Amino acid sequence: MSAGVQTASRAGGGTDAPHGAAVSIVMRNVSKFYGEVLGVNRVDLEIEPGITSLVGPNGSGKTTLMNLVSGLIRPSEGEISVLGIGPREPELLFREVGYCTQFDSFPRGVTGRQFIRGFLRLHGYAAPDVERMAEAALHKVDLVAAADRKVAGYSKGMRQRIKLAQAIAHDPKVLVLDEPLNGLDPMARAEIIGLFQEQARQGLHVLISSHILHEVDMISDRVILISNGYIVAEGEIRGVRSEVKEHDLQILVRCSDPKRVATAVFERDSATEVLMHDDGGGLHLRTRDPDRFYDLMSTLVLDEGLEIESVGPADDNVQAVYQYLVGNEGAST
Amino acid sequence: MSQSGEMSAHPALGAAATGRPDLPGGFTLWLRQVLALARLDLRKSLFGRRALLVYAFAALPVFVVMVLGVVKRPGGDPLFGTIGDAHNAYAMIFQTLVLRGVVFFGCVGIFTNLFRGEVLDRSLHYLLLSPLRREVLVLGKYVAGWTITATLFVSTTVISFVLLYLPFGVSRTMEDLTGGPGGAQLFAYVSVVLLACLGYGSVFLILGLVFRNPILPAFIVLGWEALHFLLPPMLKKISVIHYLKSLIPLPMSEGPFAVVAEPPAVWVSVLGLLLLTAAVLVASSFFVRRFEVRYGED
Repeated sequence: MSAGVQTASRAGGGTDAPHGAAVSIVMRNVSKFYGEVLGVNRVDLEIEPGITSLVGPNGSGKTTLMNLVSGLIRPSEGEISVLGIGPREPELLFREVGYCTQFDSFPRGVTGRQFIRGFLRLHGYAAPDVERMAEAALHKVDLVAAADRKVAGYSKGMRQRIKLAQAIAHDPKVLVLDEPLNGLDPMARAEIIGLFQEQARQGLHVLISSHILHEVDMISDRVILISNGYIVAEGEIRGVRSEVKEHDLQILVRCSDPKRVATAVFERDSATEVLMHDDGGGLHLRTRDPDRFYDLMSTLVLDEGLEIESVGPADDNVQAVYQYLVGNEGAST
Repeated sequence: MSQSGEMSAHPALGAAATGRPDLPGGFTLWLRQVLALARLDLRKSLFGRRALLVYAFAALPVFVVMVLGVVKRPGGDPLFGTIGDAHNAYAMIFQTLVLRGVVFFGCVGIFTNLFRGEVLDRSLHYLLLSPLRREVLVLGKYVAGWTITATLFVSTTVISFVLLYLPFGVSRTMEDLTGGPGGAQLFAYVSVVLLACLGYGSVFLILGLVFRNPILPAFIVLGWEALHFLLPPMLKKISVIHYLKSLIPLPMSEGPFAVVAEPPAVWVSVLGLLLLTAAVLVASSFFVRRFEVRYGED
């Protein structure tokens, strides 16, 4: 495993700010031990609005971190604040937080509609509001037609969706979603991802844990990589990638004359390795100095008339960064 | 849109409440939340297949009284020659079967399961993820348990008491219930059941919170309550049955080995049980505040 890379700000905007100004989820030096077993260790995070994905192998501490954020468990050390509210104020915290847990269990004997309504009533909403908010949530997850069936008879995907409906029904500011795409078919995945993106566009914090890396890559504004209870890296994925110095950046170029590009990059020492594509229409190279390489490409285009179809990094995605920092264990692509 | 009452005082909430419906503040909000919690548990406990077992258990005294009502002596006379005999027989049935049997074990089953059942069903996290003060959560659960047990056991008490009059006909029954001692006795029995549900309910609620398997502690409580007549007067005061006994209209003899103690006045009994209940609920709230959801260990 590589050394940890911290790219996000550690500044204390969240907890230091008064309640009204706090807009972040902030964890300060948070550790959680289950007896002698480490859950997470010395976590410092500040999570801004948008979609943040929590990525790590099974048992790495993702669920512990989410349970800490949502106050389901208490930290052994450190402080947590969600929009300026601490976990000791559940009556305030859970107006702002919706948590879709990994537990595939429900209160006994309820239908989908009763499930949503029951928990909206716990918020204290009046009956007409409960009715309206429950219908809106069921509509968002496309479960209106099955809402009067017992949850126990739902498929895995439907149970996942009804949990999501319960998490979003009260219009929270922070959505914490533990493996929310598990059990969903591709169509439902696309719809639910669209729902997350819509929530993020509205300024919500959406914290998602997943081990399906290409989906994480597709939807996340930021990632947090966690392994063995430690935060290995966090931040916007390109920023994280650029900090991983021990692995040369891979760049994919599709152009009219890849041999000329290959010659130029070796002449000017801009690449450590070049692989020509079999179709003769491009090349794949590794460089330690991407800025120098891009300058070279500009020169080739402007001065020598090279026609470029596309050029861009080939490994500034979650999958590659995950592999560099965590290894192959536990993640799916 | 702003929230009213105490909720609107929190700046984070005030900023976040945009677009959400208004919520009442303070007591009204808590009342709604307690009722919502009670509703969830009432549906779970009183409806569905598992509830049939609870109903059957609660109906036990009714069956016993019905059998006694139709059984005849060898000469063909009814078992109870007079209404007074029937009252004495019911006092025995109430103190042994109803109070120490059905109400006690019914409270064990229902109150210990209020939280423990949620843990076993892996559904407690839904409650802990709701915007409830933990005290409100405990109170809501307790109100649900008390409503269920009070409804079941008051019903069984009233029905079994009235069935006792079966051999005496409707007019004598009405006469005894309205003009005779029957009405006052029934009122006393119902009051004892309500207070028993309060006292035992609070004790078993906290046992269900503190212990992963509350059955053993519940049996220790049963032993303590059963042997309380042997306890010195000071220790008697920390048993629920001590306060209930002074409210029972026809007390039974406790045998030659009983340590005699002055029964508490009615107001002391009622106040004592209420204080015990309040103290245990406060302790339960304190415990729930530290509660963490870790189903894997249960």
